[in-house]
Amino acid sequence: MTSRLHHALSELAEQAPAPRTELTGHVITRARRRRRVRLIAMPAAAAGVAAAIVVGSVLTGGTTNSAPPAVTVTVPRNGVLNDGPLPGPLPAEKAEPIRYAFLDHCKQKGGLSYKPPVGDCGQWRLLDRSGKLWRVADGMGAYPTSTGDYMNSSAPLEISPDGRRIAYFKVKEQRYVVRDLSSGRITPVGRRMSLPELYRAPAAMAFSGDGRWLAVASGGRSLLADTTTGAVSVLPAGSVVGLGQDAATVVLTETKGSRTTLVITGRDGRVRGRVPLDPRASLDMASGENWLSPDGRTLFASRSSHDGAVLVDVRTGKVIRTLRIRMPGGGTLGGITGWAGPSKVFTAHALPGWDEPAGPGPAPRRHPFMRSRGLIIDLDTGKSRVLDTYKLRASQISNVYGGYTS
Amino acid sequence: MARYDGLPEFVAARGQALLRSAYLLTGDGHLAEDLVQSTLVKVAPRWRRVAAVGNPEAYVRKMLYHEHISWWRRRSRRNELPSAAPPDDERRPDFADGALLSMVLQQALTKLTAKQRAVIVLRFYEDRSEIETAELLGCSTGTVKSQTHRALARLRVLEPGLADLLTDAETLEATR
Repeated sequence: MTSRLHHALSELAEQAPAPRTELTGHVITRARRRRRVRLIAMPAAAAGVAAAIVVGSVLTGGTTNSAPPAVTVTVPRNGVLNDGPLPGPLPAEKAEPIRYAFLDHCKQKGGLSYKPPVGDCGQWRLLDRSGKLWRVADGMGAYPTSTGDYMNSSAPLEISPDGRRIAYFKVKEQRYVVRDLSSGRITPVGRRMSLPELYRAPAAMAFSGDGRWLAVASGGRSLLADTTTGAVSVLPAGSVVGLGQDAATVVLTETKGSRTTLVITGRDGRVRGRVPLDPRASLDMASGENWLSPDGRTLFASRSSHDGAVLVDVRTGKVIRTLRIRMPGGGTLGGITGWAGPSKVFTAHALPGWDEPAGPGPAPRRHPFMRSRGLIIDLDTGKSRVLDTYKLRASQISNVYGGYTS
Repeated sequence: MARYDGLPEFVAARGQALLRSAYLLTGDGHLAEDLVQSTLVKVAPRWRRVAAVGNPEAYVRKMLYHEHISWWRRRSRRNELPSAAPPDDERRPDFADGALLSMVLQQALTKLTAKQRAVIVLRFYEDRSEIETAELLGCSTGTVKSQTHRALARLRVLEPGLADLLTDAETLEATR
């Protein structure tokens, strides 16, 4: 017996377009083109262990790579961050605060898809405050998740709101570390993990507003690390959604069925309270982020209907204000990267042409660039200020924003 | 052409079915075409091995769902949420009109997360079992159960007019 929902879905599915007659031709042409891009095959490791990425290896044919240049690389005149030569490794110390990080997967067509990019161009690249570009030469970028499979992934990287620290997976140590860009100090956080473990439980990381504390969520549990000492405390089960300015208050969400509960702890992970989340608010997008205001009292949340945002009182779980802030270019503010002040937030949004056809028509045109913009938004006035615009030449990227409070 | 032997026949035979699932997942005809095409481009290099196993459609569908979820994750990391008009509480649509029901259902589906949409399409359109759904999505049957429950609950909140449809589905779900 089939349900009425099945019939309704079937009727809806009838509206799908018919396959184009040239579909198979296009598929085979694109598949052949990808084969002509030759990468050095990484040595297959023992069963169950993915191949490691060799830093500094040279590629043959088709892809761009080069030995680290002798000169500092800055953003090219055309503003495309990944045009021009590959930047050198991040300096060991006295590096400037970072605003943006990206992976362009060596500009492979199809991005990460069939094979992970190898070599220096596959590493995370950083843009600092003064417009210089660097590579995280000791960090993991993209990696194969298992031999003989199509799935590839990239290890995460996070930038503190002040841009003075970055957290990433250090290849040699096989663990997450936090690097203080000014002092150069590298502090390991959490335990060592193999690449298969990294894939099975990719971490979501969030810095506190002051950059001193880092929540690392992996495999259903979270740790809170002191980035100056590496000391960690285990947080209760749930998803971290807020650390505030200094992690004096930590907020997690626990969901059972359709009910979400806010779990409030201190830095030691001890539960201080639980309150039900107002059903008008949704924190699905906040999982692994810091959406808690600097004073630790207010959570930014999406509206459950995903057509705007709300502010939630952490003590009661109730919505205290509904926000309908129009974004430049259309749409309403529904999610953020983090708080940039007592009543300001930072968010980034794609500019037109990102990954989408230009419009209806027989042959969708793809925009050759991936573009986005970082904005500071005043929640009281609804006014926004553009902080930065980013432009990359690639078909698939990973990117991270930070440094928006410095 | 030996490398791709059988691929054109497979696409001719199953392309429409794949597009229908992709359409339910993406809510847009162009995106559905992109999703199917990019999935097939990934399958093509290993087509001989996939076809030799005897059930290429299962492999292709698994990749289709993973690709869809991976697209959605990229969008959500960019803090990009769809702009949509707030629900109109004054509207009282007549769901006896099948075209209106389709439109409302399609809009409601786009407001689910990628995984929630995937379980709805797999469980209620493709009529897969929990075990089959878990295998296709690479998760546990417990996750399938909870995602199904949350998806149906969210659809109910998003569009109260779908209540009859959803109650019927929930009843059937409980007896499966």
